[in-house]
Amino acid sequence: MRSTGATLRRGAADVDVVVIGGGVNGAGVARDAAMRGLSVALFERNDLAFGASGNSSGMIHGGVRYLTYDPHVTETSCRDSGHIQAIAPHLLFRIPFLMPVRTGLAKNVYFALLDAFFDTYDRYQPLKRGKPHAVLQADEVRALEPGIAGDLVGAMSWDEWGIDGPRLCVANAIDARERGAKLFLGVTVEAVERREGSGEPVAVRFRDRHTGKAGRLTTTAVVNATGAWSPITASFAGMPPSNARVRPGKGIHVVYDRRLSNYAISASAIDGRQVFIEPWQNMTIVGTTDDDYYGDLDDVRATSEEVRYLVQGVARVFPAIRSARAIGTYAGVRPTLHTFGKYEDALSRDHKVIDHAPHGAPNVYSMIGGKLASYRLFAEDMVDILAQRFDLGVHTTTHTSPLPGGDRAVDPFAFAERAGIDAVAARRIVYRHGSRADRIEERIHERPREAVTVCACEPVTEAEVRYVLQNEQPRTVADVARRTRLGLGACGGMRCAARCGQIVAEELHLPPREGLRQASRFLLQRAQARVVALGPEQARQEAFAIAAVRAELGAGDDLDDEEQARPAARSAVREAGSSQEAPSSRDVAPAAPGAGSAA
Amino acid sequence: MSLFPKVVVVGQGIAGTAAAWRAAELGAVVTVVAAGAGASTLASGALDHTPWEDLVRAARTTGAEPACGALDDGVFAFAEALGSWRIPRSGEPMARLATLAGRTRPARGHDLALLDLAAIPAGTVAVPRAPRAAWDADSLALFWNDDPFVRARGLRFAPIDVALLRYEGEDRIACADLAARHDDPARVAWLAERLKDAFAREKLAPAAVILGPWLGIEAPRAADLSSRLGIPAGEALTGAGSPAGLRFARAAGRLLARAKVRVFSARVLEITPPERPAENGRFRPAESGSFRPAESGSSRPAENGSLRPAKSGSLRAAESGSLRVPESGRVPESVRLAGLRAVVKLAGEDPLRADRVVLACGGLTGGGLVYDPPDTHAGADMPPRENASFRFSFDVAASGDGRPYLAVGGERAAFPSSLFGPTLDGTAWPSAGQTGSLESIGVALGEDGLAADYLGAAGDVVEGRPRTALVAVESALRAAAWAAG
Repeated sequence: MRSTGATLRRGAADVDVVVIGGGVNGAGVARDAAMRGLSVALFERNDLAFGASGNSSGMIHGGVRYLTYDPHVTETSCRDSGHIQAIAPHLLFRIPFLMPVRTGLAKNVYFALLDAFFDTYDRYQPLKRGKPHAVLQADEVRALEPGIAGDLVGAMSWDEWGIDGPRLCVANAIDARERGAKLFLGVTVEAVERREGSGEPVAVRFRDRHTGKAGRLTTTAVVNATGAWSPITASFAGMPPSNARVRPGKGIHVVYDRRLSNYAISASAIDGRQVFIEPWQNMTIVGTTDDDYYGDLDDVRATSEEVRYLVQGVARVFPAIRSARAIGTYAGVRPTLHTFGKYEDALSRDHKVIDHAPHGAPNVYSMIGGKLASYRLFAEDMVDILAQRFDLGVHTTTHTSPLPGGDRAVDPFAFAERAGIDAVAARRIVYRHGSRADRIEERIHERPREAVTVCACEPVTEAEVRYVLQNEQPRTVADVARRTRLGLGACGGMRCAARCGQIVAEELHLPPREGLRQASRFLLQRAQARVVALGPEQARQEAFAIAAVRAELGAGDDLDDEEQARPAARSAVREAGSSQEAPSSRDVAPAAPGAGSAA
Repeated sequence: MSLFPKVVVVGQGIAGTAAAWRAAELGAVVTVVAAGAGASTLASGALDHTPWEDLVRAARTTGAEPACGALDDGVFAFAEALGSWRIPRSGEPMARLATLAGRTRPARGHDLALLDLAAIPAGTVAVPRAPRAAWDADSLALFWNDDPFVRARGLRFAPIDVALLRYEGEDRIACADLAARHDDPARVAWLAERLKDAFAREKLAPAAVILGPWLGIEAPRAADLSSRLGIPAGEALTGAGSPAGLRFARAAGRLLARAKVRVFSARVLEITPPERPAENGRFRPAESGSFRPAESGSSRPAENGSLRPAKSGSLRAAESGSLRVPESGRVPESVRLAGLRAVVKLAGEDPLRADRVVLACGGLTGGGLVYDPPDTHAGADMPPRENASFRFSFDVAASGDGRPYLAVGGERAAFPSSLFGPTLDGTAWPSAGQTGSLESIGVALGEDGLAADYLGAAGDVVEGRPRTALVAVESALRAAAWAAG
């Protein structure tokens, strides 16, 4: 299916393409399109990587699970994973996996079959520079991973890549911006205006969710890359939501305070589903669930029952998980291709572009499905269609051009010494920013006091927070946390949230109290994500954090008192609901860098 | 010695200290058992009676500034004895503290090292710059200047350059370590000179000077600095791990030493009730929940003197023969006369015997209580289907009607839960006007105000008022009056 009609003319509108959605697919399309010379505007109603992209298992795995029924997905995942590794080597780290096999009836046969299965997967491994699998005997497994329980035949070990999803998204979006794309973050598209008759898009109408300001931007084409929000976005374009149907699958993860195992270990949950425990960056992640979800996409949370389901499954092979310290959870909603009736796990992880020309909306496209590992290929497929429509004749170079920071390696120890900061902090900066860590180092040389640590758990320095605020377009404390992992450690942000709020307000020229409001909102959101997974130690920490936060910052619900002089406005805010979403009646237009004003 | 009741207080936070001090004043022989740092030692130095956020909410509704309400006289006496707190009298203006988060908040009282903004006339408050992580003077001044109280009072925070760190590495050491260095009077004098130089250089005549939490551990050194400068000087409030908590701990230690209270640094393993007479008239050790106190006189065996104490109680029988029996005492007279005392078993120490025990072990933060959901012990199995998720960190045998038990906000603990354990999803953290379940779980009191007939309890969480230090003191004074009988 291809849009009919004449080739589109570039420059006929404010932008050639409006991309809606700041997940990895949207950011990837914006980057690819900008690299091929199209003028692009990207709209994201929350923040980059707010949805599935930022709440994944943190892997660009080759999809060994799909090998039996979707080998095509395995191959594209492996191939694209190799490309991502080439353009953003700083963001990747190896995660060796173990699949222990318990002794039991015919388990030796099963073990041999498993070996053969992984032989097949080995054929794809070179595509992503992965290592071939290894067959481990029981005593070898015990030596490598003493925490595994039960009588074992042995285990399979294979190789995957870990990645920080939000960083990947941000890197794509920033690269797009540096190539001319405009990023509108925290700005929601409210309608796509289409020409009567032809049905082609004319413009998008949008509203800044922080300031309430509305605007309009004319465009030639629209790409809906809103993941689980896709049906809603389709309805904004005046189409039935079913034109961009997804099967929304909620997945949750539990985060622990340290690396608990040497290997990622797969396990079976009580219903036979595969779950896993995975050492990831400086912590451990347990995942994941997959359940149909039709709740509020802007507020997806794990529940304690989901956490118990995962922990119980992992405890069957790794019992020590029970006494480990869970410091948080996160949840996202996968936008899988819609199939009715299938069991969630059996849904295809393939992706496809829906051309809405047959629905009477030419030049409007929806990107459905996909996974983190193949985002680049998906974006390429999408932009190939656009390139043809605009008659560009340019092929993608996204698989060879490094993402920001990915052009060369930086030695973290030398960096630590030069910048005069802690080696662990330096290692984290270099991981997140690659060669752009140099820009943070420059800041520290110019302003030595920025070498201080803001968040001790991660750790995050003040220079990085300020660099991110000036260069990566966050608008709130939570956005900074997404980009730096500030406040996501064991202390729950009790020592850094308020300080971060101060810095956010300073850098974005917000009223000081807005910074404090954001900090208190962030603390509450984080607390809600932690309390579903509480164990003894963290419960005590929570009680302590409550006391500390309430002594210093308060509940944050009294921070609107400038408005005391205007009681009418205040009561209006009250009636609108909690202070969480209270629209600020003051005009706090942040001069976010790069967010061109097209209104 | 046995003229005086023997009292064991578990916990040495604000409630434990106040209870032990008061009970000793009333003539009891008091021993405190404390296992380490809790909420009081980690506290911020702000002393509330009503949570300050409630005061702010009320003030917004009524349009009137929050005012100091009445407190039990004993609270003032305790503060005076402690020597490191300031509590304005009823009717005086409330204290106003500047916090490191960048705002101000009212407080009913405060650690003496904290700067009370309400006591400063309009003018400039100097904020010295220091290359320390949590202290960005420019940022703090910007935020404090935006605070409605500060604007209304005509205060203005102005950052100034002062080299107030004397030695290398002081930009990185913990606040408490820097505070400890200011215990040296010479260092405070040095600091005062630096500040005076800076004021002269910048031609600034500030109305006050505010510093980070650095002014002393052994005692608050703000008064010394203030008198050297001739203007109020003090700290900003830090919510977590502030030196103010350590100053309280030191002051509490000195207070208890003066009051001749023995302090054991040990963990309590078990508390057993005094041995009881059984229905058949013979003593036997009470077992958990097995004994119901009989109301009839016939089961009060000591009156006819015919009963022999059980074995473990016999050691104390002689010395308690001449006991002073309190009129209001709730320990059965018989038990007192027989000298059958409660036993507090400690880790690594001999057990203590007491007529009365006061639990002042705090809530979860204090460590006296622990959250212990069934999942924790489930291993590879499914968690057991039960909901007893909070417990004491030691064994405490119930008596009578099965007490002691735990409660949230004074109500017997009942948590939302599923088949597999508690569901704290919506209740763990406080929400508007409601305390959170994690911070309010405490020892439950019966209608008699006791946890069990031999067991009193004190603290803010016991009263269902978490984060209110002065309620903890009041509650401790009541418990002390009972314990000293």
